[in-house]
Amino acid sequence: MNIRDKFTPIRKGLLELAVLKVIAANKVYAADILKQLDQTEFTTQEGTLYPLLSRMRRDGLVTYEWSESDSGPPRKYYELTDLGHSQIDQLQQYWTTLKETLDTIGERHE
Amino acid sequence: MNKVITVNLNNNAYQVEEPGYEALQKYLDNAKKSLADNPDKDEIIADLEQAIADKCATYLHTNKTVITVAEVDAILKSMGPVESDEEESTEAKTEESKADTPKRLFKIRDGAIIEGVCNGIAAYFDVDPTMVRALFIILTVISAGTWIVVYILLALFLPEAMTREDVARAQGQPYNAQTIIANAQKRYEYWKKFGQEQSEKWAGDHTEEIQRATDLHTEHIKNKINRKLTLKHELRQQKIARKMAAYDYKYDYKPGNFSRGLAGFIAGMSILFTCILGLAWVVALIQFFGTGSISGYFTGTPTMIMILLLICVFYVIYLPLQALTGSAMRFAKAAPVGGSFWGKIVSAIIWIAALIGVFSIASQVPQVRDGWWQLRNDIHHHIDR
Repeated sequence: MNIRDKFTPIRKGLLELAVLKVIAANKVYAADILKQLDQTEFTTQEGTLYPLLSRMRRDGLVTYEWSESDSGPPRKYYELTDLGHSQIDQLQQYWTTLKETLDTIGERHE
Repeated sequence: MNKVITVNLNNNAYQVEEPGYEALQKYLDNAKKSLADNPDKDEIIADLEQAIADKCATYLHTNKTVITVAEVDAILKSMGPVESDEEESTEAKTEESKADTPKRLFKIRDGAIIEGVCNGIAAYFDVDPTMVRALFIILTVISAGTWIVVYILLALFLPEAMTREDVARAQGQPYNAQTIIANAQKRYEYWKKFGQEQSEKWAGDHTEEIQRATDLHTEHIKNKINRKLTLKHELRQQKIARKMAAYDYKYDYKPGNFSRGLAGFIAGMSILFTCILGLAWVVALIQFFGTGSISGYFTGTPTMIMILLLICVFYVIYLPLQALTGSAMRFAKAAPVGGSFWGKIVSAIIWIAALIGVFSIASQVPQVRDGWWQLRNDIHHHIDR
């Protein structure tokens, strides 16, 4: 099992935070999100992203509006809600706690 | 050359080669299945269709108007499997699918010696087929050949594993029998080692006492052997006396023809009941393996427990019946009195040979064969219902 596979569940759990952050930076549509994630460790596919986006919308973290595009049909542009912003803060805070714990765990305090 | 089908993907028309269309259909069907409990199912499906449509567009230009199979495969691969984000629903689904494909007992011809019955049973419990075969042989000898009937009936009624899925179903989820045996072995090794270590340690501490105890033990054994020899002699004397008494009885008391006939009738009836018992037992066993219950009772009983229970019930009824048959036949003077261990083995072999003979002759008769098939189908029908 390679290192990347060991972290599959972790990446899956963090995907929501990553997507929230992408949306927070800019109004984006789904293909944009995929393209941005594609260059990172969080690279994912439509089959995973679409159900996630729909759940986040139901939880009130994001909204979307239809917008005409230069090429092709109108697209859904996603935007963060206030709840989405506070969710980013909470998730980020917990992630920092996890990271600090990992950095310091096992060290002897003398 | 492939047929081309026009598809409507979220109100975009595309021309797709026929096998590609089937792949698309399958992908979307699977997506619908895994989103079955999702309240936004239709919206997500529409989004997915739109994404597929966008990807299709990148493959088309003025001189190319059809999406090929390979391109559809590439598109679907890049889309990835649709995973519902609702965790509860996926859990429910795996449980459901487990319940959908219960384990079933099959005959497995591949690697079989006779009919594959033992092979199938071994696959069901995930144990070595040799163990099952050995168990069948032991049971056949112990039951004086009666067990062979179980084998023959199983061979007749068990469906054969024809496909790979059947074989997989025969195995089902790894059963715990193997783990139980492995654990027992481990425990045995542990206690053996523990005992050895402890006894060696103790022996080192108590050399003198052990010497004294060994002497005492030798003395004790000598006495015991002496006593045993005496006892054996006495027993032999007693046995001779008993035999002589029996001899007297045999020639002094002669039952009349009526009581002998009655005894013969009782013997016949109890043999008939034994056969019915055997048949009912095997039917119950097959039914349990097939449906997980016996005529609706015992649902959810663990397989191992159920088999032990069935064996216990069988012997509780079988042993008195056998005793009745034996004494009735003896009374009717139709069977030799008593019998030694080897005598039982010989009669078991004769019994097996006779059964095989009867079955092979019977299978030559078309009516009998048809009857068996009819019965077999009826039972299958009953099980599948």
